[in-house]
Amino acid sequence: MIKTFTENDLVRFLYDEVNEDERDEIRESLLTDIQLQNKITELKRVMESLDAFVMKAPKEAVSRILYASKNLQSA
Amino acid sequence: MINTSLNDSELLSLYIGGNEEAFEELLNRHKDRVFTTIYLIVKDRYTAEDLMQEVFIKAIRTIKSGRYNEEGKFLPWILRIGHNLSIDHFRKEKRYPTIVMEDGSSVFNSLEFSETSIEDEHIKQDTYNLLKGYIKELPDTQREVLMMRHYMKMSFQEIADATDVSINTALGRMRYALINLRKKFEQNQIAYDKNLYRK
Repeated sequence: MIKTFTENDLVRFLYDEVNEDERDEIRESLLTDIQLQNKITELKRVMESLDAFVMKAPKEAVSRILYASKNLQSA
Repeated sequence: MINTSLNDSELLSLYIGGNEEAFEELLNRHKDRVFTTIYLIVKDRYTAEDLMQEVFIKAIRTIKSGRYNEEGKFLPWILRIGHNLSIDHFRKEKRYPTIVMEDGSSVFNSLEFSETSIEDEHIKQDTYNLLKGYIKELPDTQREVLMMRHYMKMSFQEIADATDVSINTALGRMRYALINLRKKFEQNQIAYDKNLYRK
């Protein structure tokens, strides 16, 4: 029997918020369901693009944080 | 030398025990995401830099005073500090007087990304800037969920609670945000290759 998933199920799957049973079901369906594969691939690509949108923290600020850490005493 | 394969909890334990290298590893691991998240809220690079510093120093004080209680993971915890300090910043500046988080309304609804600066002018053809523009163009509710889930690592249930909607609504908004971004990429023939994006 072909299991169908809602679009929201797929978003939860991509963000790793499904339970183990749901994860297994989606993974199993992905083996044969080309439409599902395409949907997941498309969304995943956008997520990867968002992952790449990460700005570099300024080095000066990082140095100041490390300096503060070394000079703040523990309780 | 610290073992970089240690997870955040293990690094925190070492840091609590006085190992400064463990903290350096934690900082290097998460500084860019914390900075990006704050920048997306305050939309000013210099303010984001100051706030990032404030966030980590607040975290250091909490950890070193023995008040760190690891109920959740380190990154969501520190991002939450960043979120709260960013809101405090707006309150102090009174630049966005309509932002009142206590009653459930969201800071993101009132925020816009930075207007085009000189720097933006110089690199406006950059794909990185295009993506920033696409995020900016998303409807407020979609942008809010996208930032909370993707950058702040809040769960959909936490987002639903924070924004006073059902989890299905939060999920739907995220889905439309991703679909809308995909459409914009396609319309502008932007390749999905990660290497095209500036790190």
